[in-house]
Amino acid sequence: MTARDRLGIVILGLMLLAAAIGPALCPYDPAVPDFLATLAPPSTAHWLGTDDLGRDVLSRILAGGRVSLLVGVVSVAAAALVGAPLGLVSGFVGGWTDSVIMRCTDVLLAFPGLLLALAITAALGSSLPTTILAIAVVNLPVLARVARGQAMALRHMDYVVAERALGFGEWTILRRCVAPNALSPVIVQASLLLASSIITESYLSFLGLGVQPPMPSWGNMLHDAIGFLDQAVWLAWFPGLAIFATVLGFNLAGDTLRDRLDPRD
Amino acid sequence: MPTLPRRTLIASVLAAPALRAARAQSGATLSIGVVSDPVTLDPAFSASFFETQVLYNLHETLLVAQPDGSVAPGLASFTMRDKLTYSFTLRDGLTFHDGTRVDAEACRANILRYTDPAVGSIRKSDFGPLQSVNVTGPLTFDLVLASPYAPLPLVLTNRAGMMVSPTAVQALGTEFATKAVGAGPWKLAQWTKNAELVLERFPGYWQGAGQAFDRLVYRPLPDETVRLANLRSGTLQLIDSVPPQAVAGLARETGVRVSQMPSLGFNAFAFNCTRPPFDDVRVRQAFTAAIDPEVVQRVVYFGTGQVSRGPFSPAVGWAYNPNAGGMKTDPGHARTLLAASGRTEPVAVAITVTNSPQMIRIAQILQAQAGAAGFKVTVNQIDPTSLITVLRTRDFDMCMSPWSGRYDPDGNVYNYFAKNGPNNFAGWQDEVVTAMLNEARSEADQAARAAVYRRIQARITAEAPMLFLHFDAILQASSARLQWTQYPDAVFRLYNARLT
Repeated sequence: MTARDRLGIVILGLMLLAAAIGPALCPYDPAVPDFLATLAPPSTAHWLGTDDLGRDVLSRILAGGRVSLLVGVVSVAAAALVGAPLGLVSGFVGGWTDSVIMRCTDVLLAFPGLLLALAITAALGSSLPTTILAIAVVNLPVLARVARGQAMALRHMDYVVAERALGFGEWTILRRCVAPNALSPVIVQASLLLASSIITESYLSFLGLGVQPPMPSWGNMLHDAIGFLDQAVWLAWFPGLAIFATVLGFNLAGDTLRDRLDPRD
Repeated sequence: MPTLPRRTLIASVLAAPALRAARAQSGATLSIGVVSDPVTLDPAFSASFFETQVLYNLHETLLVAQPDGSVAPGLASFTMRDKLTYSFTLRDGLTFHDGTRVDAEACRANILRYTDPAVGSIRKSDFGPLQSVNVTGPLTFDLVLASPYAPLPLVLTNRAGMMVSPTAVQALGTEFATKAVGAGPWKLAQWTKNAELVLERFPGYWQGAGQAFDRLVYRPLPDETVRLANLRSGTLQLIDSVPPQAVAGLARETGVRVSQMPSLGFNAFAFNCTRPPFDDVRVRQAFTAAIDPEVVQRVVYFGTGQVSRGPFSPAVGWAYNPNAGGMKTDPGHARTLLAASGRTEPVAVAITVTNSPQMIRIAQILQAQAGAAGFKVTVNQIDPTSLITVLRTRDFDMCMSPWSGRYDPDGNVYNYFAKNGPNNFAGWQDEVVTAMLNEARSEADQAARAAVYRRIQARITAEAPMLFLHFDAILQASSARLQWTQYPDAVFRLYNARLT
């Protein structure tokens, strides 16, 4: 295991730990304002300062981390659960089924990801579930494409041909032989999408279309901070650092996973 | 390498400011950062305050409002023949930007267009009880009213008084909205939507071709930070809507100047009185009692502007009542009122605001304060362009309903609180206040009108159809070299603007 692998795992571990138990450690309620302590710089009472409504920034980063990670993990998991089977069926069956499924994914891929997510949240209204759904829809065609490519490559492999010769049905072959072998690139791709999903959530919240106040997310904390760059720059620093560290952690972990699962190694 | 003689170099350096000023005076461009691009340049259909920043430089009004709220002649002067008849005399020799004459027939065509139901102009209600427009000579006409209507002269200093070329209206049809032809100090040169709107000097303006700037360039920049950055870098020389938190810091900078004054408008929320829970006056009173506008003033506005307890702005001194207390902030009383309404806590309500940082901040303060008094508040964020639709369809529990304000106090209340007022977004149907509003607008004596407005304010406070929070200060900033006059309606009127 290289230093890079260890760094990724440590960052990710810390972030997941903070998301799991962090909210319980919050020194203050992240949603409750204190109008007598607004825009206070970092101090012993508020380690990372307070925001424009007097809420503790550290507590909001801890609580917001859970939201950001939840959005990332659930949206990618949902996209994988729907996209990967669709891609596998598409690539393995081929013909009309492949054409129909792939043209549908092409429609989704035709829109820039952020624009598609914006359109979905604008149409369905801003909320946490809508944000997750929007990001899942953006991720879905990517995972479907990866799974399809794998299935197409695998369907002519000797062991698949052998299974067919032994009289197994197509669905059984897909389930028993193709899917398990096609999944590792999908998992690697999903780990990379986790990072981009957190970024997309922060974009949506930044634009006022993601997680709704007073629930904190790193994105809407940045959104709130933008008006106070001259007066209270720490409001932008800390959530920005949290996003940076998490995305770095997921990317490093994704690289590690890719190396580990690469059949050529 | 060639070198400049030292004397030439020194002379050039010393002359640079003078040369710059001379260049500024001849053929200069003034770049202005505004919050939003206009939707239309046709005053008949202009509904957004932000459009007025362009409209008042593109079009000219029959009468002109002074910064102190008094009325001066514009395209025309007027006399009041009796309580129901206003006679107007136009200046001689004026033309619209297309060269056609500004005469009595053109003004009649404009006013009929504003008031014809078939046209559907939103200016119709501005004219109140207007009965007829009678042309009495090439440059004279009368406006005849069905009943006294004191606000009329001030109304004609607003968009309702803007005269556009009837020939261009006919020729352009629906394209008039994007190619408007008026009689203002500048005419439309070019408009690239959401990027740049350019006006160029109109030499035939009635005050003469004394504009210091050949071109006004409007750049829509919704983000307040971006507007400020462009002002600091010198890309813009004038910007609208400076964020309150930036005022103290900007005051210490030498290259820019912040201008502020009390505005005519108010920042308030409409309660939806047509559906539960705010159809019950006790719930409206409870919510009002739960909110402390002082906190909004301090946390959101950083001490700029003034706390509001009603619709009349302190900028209109004769109608403003500094002693009107409004409802006291008392969360305990709010809970008592909620209990009296028979509702079990928490009472769920949604607050609708546009997704501007300032409005979201206000919504969160209301959320926290009302939450402490027995409400469960969710915040709905909408796109600014959807706001008017949400308000008109009353698709809200409570929704931000800010008003830019009018010089005449009638403009701050009639449309909002009269039973059929076009801005009665609250859906509050109150016979008593409607009668008082009609009484106030038909009364010519200012002191008597002020007395009626005090009764109106008391009634509005008691029934709480809207939650009043704040009288925003007008906060605008410019290059320190730009001399210009700020107006309490926040509109840039730039004919006299000069670079020094």
